[in-house]
Amino acid sequence: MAETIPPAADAFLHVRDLTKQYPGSPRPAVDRASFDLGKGRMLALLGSSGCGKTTLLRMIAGLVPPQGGHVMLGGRDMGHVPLHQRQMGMVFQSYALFPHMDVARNVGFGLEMKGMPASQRNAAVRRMLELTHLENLADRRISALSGGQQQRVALARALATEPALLLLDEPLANLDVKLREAMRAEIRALQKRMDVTCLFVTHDQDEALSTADEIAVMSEGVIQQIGTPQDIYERPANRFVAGFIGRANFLPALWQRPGWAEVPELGLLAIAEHERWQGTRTLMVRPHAIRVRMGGDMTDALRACTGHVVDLSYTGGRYGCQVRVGPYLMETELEAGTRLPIRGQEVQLDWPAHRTRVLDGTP
Amino acid sequence: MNPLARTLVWRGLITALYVFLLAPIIVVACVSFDTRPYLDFPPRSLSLGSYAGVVRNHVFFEAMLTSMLIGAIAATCSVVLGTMASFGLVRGRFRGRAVFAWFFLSPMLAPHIVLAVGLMMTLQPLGLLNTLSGLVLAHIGITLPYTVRIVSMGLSRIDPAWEEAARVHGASGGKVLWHVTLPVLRPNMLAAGMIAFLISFDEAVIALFIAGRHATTLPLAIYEYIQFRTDPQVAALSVIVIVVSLLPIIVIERSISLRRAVGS
Ligand SMILES: Nc1ncnc2c1ncn2[C@@H]1O[C@H](COP(=O)(O)OP(=O)(O)OP(=O)(O)O)[C@@H](O)[C@H]1O
Ligand SMILES: [Mg+2]
Repeated sequence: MAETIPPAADAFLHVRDLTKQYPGSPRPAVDRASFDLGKGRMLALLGSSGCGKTTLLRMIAGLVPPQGGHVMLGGRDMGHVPLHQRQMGMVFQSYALFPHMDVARNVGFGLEMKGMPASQRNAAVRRMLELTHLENLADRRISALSGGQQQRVALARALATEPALLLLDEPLANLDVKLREAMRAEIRALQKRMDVTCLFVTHDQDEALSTADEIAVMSEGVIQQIGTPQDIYERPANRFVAGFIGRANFLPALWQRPGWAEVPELGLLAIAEHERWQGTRTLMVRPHAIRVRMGGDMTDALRACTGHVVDLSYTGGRYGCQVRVGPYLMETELEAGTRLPIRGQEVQLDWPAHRTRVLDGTP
Repeated sequence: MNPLARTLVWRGLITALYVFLLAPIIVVACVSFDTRPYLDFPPRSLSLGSYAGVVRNHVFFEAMLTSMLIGAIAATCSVVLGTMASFGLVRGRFRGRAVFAWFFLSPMLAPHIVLAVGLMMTLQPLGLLNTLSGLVLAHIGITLPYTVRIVSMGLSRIDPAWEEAARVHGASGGKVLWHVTLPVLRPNMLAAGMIAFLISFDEAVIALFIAGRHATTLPLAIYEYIQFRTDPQVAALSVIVIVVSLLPIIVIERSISLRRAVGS
């Protein structure tokens, strides 16, 4: 096993090799998860259902005891710190608001537990309610709130103690699309304003891409890649990440010479990779990087491939265009308003070499 | 049939059903105002004389106090024990949990007359026969199945995430119990207590077997009274008992719905 890497110099949250296998399960729910997160930054844990996001979050919160690995927060090892002294704030997927308390008492719960005197607490609660636009609902019972309002109360409760770390477990999953986008921006603004370090579980890639400073993509209990949204999208580390985030075309590729790869039954294609590899690897191109041209002469025949339009579908603002090129079915995109090909028409596809990426493994 | 007629027939049926169910109570209530010294329906002339008689009858008055005292103590103990048992039954992960559950429900299955004989033979060697404590113990026993059930129901409805949220936000184990779990259970505990009180307050058979001169409960006092006399005082007393019993029922209805408390 690899040696434990020391925390990065600017790491505020330092997670190393966290592992959890539930009894009776054939494989770990989380397998040696490691990452560092700087103070005030927001990391999205992104992955499909059942990949272990919640388990990882709960291990960091202290709600699930890990079987291995450790968590350090602000230079302090959390291993022996009891759950209620970890100074964390958490928004649960179901919100988990206390049904027997009104909004204000829910928000002030953490401060009450800390033993803050009531007068001071009321001021802090009022400030939190203002920040989350809940001033008018302070005396409401929880059962008399809408989903969006409950979500705000949960967020206010989690932030009221000014926690060292804010944990959010799919906080927006139960909201409708419009509200989700508004709340996403609000959470982000609040997180920045209070300068709180934040971990944010989601299975929605748009949410992760648009909200977080960094994204950790998880699959089957393993963190596949950590990086900025641009990194993850433009430079996916492997076939899984490339396929999980956004849409992509994958072609088998053999090494030809620096800057060029051979795709079976398609010919030579320009690539950004210059290092030699053995055997077949995977060439990735995003649909929107592909230029679709109809008729006309080929100025750069080497870079283009010719195919026939198989399907054209409107996706709001743009068209998805499937093109059969030799044995491959390529996804491309066309702006609405441009001249559109018809089904069966011959088109030329080309893309710049720097928009391609060579990944391990076959497609 | 047109809708109006159907509604009328339907309402008529419902009214008939209510009249049938309430008839004994209505009859008793009417008789309690009669002036004649025997039970007969309908009354000839009305007065509050029987009520005055009940209030002046110190046997009834003391029996009423005894019943209330026994009911209050038995209900309190039953709720405390029932809540503790519920935590074991709902939260516990141990072998024999099902047996444990049956143990608490068993008094509900045996007829009171059987329990009474058993209790008599158990309390005798302990020197608790014919004592208030003996009767309180017996009443805790027969009310436990109800309190355990009602509190367990509330406990199993508690979202574990509430307690987790409390812990994450700074509550130690004891504070979670005090600030979250028990307050959420409060309506169930209150309803359980009221039901236990009602059962104890109503109970006659067991009291008859194991209560002596030291613990004459109200049902016993009524029973003894009607062995020798039947006059409207009994009816007046019954009305008083019904009114007293209504109070806990209203509390139950307001804390958790009555149907949830007694239904399955
Ligand atoms: N308490 C538990 N006991 C046993 N297995 C569990 C438990 N909790 C989770 N698992 C299993 O562990 C795996 C990871 O679960 P986890 O809840 O962490 O996934 P997730 O990524 O949060 O999924 P989702 O997006 O659906 O919430 C799943 O296969 C799940 O069935
Ligand atoms: Mg989850």
